[in-house]
Amino acid sequence: MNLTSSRSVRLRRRAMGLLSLLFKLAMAVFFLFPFYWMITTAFKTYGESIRFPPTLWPESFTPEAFSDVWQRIDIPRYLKNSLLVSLGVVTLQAVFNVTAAYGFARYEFRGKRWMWALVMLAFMIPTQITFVPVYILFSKAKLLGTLWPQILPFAANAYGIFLIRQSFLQVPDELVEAARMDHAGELKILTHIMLPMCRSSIITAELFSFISTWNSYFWPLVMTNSDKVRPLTLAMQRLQDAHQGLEWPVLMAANSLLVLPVLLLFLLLSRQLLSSFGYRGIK
Amino acid sequence: MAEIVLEHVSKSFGSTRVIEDLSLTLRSGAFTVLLGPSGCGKTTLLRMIAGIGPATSGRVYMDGVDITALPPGERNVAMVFQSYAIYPTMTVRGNIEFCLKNNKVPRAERQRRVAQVARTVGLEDYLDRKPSQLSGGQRQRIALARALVKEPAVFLMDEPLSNLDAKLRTAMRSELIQLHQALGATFVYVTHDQTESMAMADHIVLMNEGKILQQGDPESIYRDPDNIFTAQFIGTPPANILPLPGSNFRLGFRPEKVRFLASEEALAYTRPGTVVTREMLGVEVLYKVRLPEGDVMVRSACFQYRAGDTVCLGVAGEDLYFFDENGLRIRSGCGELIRRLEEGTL
Repeated sequence: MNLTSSRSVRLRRRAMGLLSLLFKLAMAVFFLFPFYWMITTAFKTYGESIRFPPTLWPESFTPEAFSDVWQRIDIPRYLKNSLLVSLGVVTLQAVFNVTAAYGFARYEFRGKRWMWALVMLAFMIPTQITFVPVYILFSKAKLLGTLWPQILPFAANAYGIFLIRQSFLQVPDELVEAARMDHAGELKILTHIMLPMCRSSIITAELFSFISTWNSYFWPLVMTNSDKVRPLTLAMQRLQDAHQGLEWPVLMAANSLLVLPVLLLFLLLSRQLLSSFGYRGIK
Repeated sequence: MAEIVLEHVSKSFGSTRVIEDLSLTLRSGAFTVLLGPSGCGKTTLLRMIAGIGPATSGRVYMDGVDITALPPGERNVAMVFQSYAIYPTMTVRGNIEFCLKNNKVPRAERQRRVAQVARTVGLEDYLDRKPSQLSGGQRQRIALARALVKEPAVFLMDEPLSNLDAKLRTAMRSELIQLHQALGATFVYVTHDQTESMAMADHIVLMNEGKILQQGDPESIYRDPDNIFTAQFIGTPPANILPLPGSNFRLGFRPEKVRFLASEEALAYTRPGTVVTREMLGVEVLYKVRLPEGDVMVRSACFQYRAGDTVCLGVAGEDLYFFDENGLRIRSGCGELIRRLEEGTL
């Protein structure tokens, strides 16, 4: 009796494990398939890409689409613009987000609540309604022909400040007091205690900023008036305007190139990302 | 070694006064325990000495030098926090040598001191580990090592043993006593555990509600309480306090001073009672006995009584404490009170 019941429990546990594995697999396929489709289509010929029924694996594996992309758009120039803008945003945010968050988390000063309300307000304002005033601002400053209109508006970011402040707040006061007793100055407390402890939150905030800047399309579309300053996303879009309809392999090759850096960053930083959403204190 | 003097210190948090006009001298080289229930202000005093929770008013002196405005890092004091406050992102070595680095101690000396301290606390095999890989007891040792490596004149400890299990706590207790003997530094130790304070202290400062109620060596605090609070805070179980019929005074005695009487002996205080509970402690038995005036605890080597038994209890005159209506000890005229008790006129 006892034996059979323990066996049935074991069986049930096994079945649940199998079910959860199947579910995870299904989710993985669900999310990975678009990427798979993009990459395989990029290696197909045009004829194969529009054939029905579609092929799951390219019959003739050809890198032609990639060389096509390379010939039709000046990748080095746009890549440079995209990188400059994204890295510029991330660098500025590393300075402004972290210092702002630190101030909000650790110091008492006049007007703190009021200023925090302002940050939260910025959090809630949709970017779209700022397009026109920001455009006019940069136009008056005569900066429209430069990369600055794509960088400066994102030099600080309410979401980042919020996320990093929360993680600064989690650092126990006693740690800071211990550091002060160990004769550490404010800067040393920031660099040796607070920043290492909040590392994953900072990396997460930075990564999100990098991705959203790298992927941004509409903002640079509005803010740029010459190819000299346009990012990769806008250049890729131009491939769609070809006369002979949508050339799927070329489009997919271009998009593969576009998401490659983001994917690499994700793979590199996935552990930090996960831990920033979990508790990481020690008693 | 250094003497600490707190002079008329007060501390308020917002509108709450935690400590009001308190003065205290902590003897150089002594193991002083600040004892009291939680919220009595003992940690607040410790933080004043450390410099991380400055006094609202009053002054703090160390060996005669006014350190009231001195930053914590420059005070020649070290502190062990209740939560240990270990830097989680640094290795054990990093934790221990952080203050040496901040004080620009040369590398060779730094390594020598870290190695020496690690040996003292038994962490030499763990120096390159992260604190999260170590047990609670080992983390406690990191906190201790971090204080030791500074070679400070004064050690401040805020309930350092409260997060350890009972067995480890007892072991660490004797280690800390030995450490104090070896270093000869001034130790200031905060705890709410009276057993711990009795075991470790040279000098106990008993506090309640921001005031010092009594201070002295453990024996005098135990034997000669100044007030009801002290009598009841110190000792397991605490002293019995009973009303004195026909007066506003109260009477107290330690559980181990009670004797079971076979016949009506001539003791100052004798009462009939009934045993309510019996707890076997091994060497002794702890009885709860119901007297006409209330329940009392009795610690005795007489094992034969059981719950429900009728007994007669007695306490000798010299073992009785008398307290006035404010709970303060009556020191003069006790002979008269004892005589009246014996006559039965009280």
